[in-house]
Amino acid sequence: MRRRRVLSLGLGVFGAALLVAAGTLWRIEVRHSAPFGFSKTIDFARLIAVRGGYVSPNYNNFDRLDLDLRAYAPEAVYDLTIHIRPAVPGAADIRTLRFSLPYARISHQKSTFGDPFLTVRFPAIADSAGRTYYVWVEPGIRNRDQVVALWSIKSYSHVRAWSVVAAFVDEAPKGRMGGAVRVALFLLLGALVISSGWCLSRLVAASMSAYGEPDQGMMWWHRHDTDGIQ
Amino acid sequence: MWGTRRTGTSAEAVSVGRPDDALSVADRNWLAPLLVLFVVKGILLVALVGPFTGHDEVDHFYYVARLAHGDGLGVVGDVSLPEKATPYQMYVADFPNNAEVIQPPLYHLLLVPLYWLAPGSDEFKLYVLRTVSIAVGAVVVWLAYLTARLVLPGAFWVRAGVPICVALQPQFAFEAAIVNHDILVIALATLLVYLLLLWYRGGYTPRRLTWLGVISGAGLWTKASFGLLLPVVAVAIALAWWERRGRRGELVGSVMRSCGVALLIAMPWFLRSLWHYGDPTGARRLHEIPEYGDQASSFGAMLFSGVFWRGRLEDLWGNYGWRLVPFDPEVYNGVYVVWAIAGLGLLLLAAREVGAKVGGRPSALSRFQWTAVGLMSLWACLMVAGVLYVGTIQFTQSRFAFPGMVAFAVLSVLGFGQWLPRPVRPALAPTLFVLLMALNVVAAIRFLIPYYYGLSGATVLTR
Repeated sequence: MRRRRVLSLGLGVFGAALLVAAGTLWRIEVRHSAPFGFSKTIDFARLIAVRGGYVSPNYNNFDRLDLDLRAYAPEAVYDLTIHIRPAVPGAADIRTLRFSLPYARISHQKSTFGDPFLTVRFPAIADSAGRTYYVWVEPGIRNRDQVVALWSIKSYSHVRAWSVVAAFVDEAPKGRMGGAVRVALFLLLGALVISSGWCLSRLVAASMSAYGEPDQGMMWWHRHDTDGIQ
Repeated sequence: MWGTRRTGTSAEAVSVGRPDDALSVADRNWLAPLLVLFVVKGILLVALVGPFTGHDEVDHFYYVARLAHGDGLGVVGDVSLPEKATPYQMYVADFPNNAEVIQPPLYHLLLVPLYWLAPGSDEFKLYVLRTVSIAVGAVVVWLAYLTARLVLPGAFWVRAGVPICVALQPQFAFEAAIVNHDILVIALATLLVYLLLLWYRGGYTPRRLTWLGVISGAGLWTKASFGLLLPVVAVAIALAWWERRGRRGELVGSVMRSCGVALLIAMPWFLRSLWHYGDPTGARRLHEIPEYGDQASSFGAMLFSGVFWRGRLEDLWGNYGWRLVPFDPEVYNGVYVVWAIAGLGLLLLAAREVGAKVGGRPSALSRFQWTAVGLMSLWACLMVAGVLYVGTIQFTQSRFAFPGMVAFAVLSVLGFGQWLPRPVRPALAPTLFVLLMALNVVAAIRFLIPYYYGLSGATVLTR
């Protein structure tokens, strides 16, 4: 009995600690703010597809792009160069990525539940938050007669989870009671951690109690032959 | 009346009495923290989700405001949103019109007193009204527990697993953190089915049937799609009548007393819609709005479209802020894989039952439990049919199936449980808790918070 209590309590504390670690220390890839998660470059209304578009990271350490590339020549191997440059006149590339891909990786025919995006990673751009970048795809010389279009772009940063949580606490609507709201949000985050650990602990305790019970099947007091009024 | 017949067996006495109370005391130990967690998470979501960025939140809020200011119900096309709503126009389906005034006003009327009491700006009032959704959502979680306990009282993994699934389902939590009448529809639907199952055991007395009618009527005054629940009521009554071999006239009388009363209660609204829009629900008028009707499709086109079902699955599991904040494909796919295990488990249960029937072995479920599972399956199927029906009028979303959230949860948990040996099944509850908490944390930190908040004020609303 005592062992069960200690174990359930320990798991609850561990769960709460894990949640704290996940919300602070965990280095996580966050997707930058954009409607539907991406910056759309294709213009369906005018049937215009292009090879470049803009992304606006709202976190530092911008280090990943997901590109919805569409290629149409099944036999081709595509040599692509991705240019990332600040969206200011005359700016040079800040990152340049080169790779070759078979058609299958960027086919215009996307499977229903597949990921339509091609992920490319690069050394992080440290001070990316709040800036806008132009991302441009340049096909290689052997693909000069083949169409490659960029329909949309997602961008990501690797950051500590705490910077995301802190952004919420710092920027949440406050009005005149800014300080109090911030304190309230911290308290709520604390309550979230405590209630999660508490709930986990109680669930573990209850499941251990149920473990030894005669029937954890679905029947208990319901009879097999019934007049339907059980 | 056949509905009033009671059995005098000891089993009956046990079923409606003491064990439930004993269970309640033990279950309170984990249910209380689960409800606290749900409420805390809900308050954080209220603060986190940008103002007026929930689906139809602008329209619903200004519908409440309209009633609070004594401007009447209004007619779609004649009612414009106020100038103050302009910054949020990307979150309005038919800007500058308020298309939600086509909806019955019960939810909005209930919020009017709070609107009056809440001080300050519209944004502050919105946050206050959002908290009501948290309270209603908590009631749904509690009803989910009661329903699970009613159907499978001896199975801790079901009693705990079902409310956990409801409380931590990301999109349900989102519904319970915005101003939208859907949350009241979910609560009323859940209450209706819980009472339907509870009274199935004890008998549908005239008073109980009337209550079912009143609750259904309240649902219809909240959203016309609540009518999809009426077949569940009728089927439950018919099954109970059949089991007790009642007279034909009694069946008709019982259905009239429940479904008929519901329709009678809702009749004024239906007649009003008929007068203004040419049909009782206003569906035709909605179809005529270009932003709505242009995205309508046919049943066949939806049923056989993989893209359609992908979209509905995304809506079902998490697509926040008027579908502008989806998860990434790998997260969705992870969820689908886990959920598919539950689906396969249900097939396994069905196969085992067929095997038991053929082999003359006892069923894993009693007749009442089978009836309950059958009614919940019907409930879930009708909700999905509702999603498809709405798709023939306008763009559709999975939230129209959310009144069946508890049915989905019960079926999912039953499915998961089939894969586990009986002694291990209690571990399912904490396992589901951990998995769903992980999903919530990932959704919040990777997608939801970065959408609204980030350095340099790069939020969608300030761009």
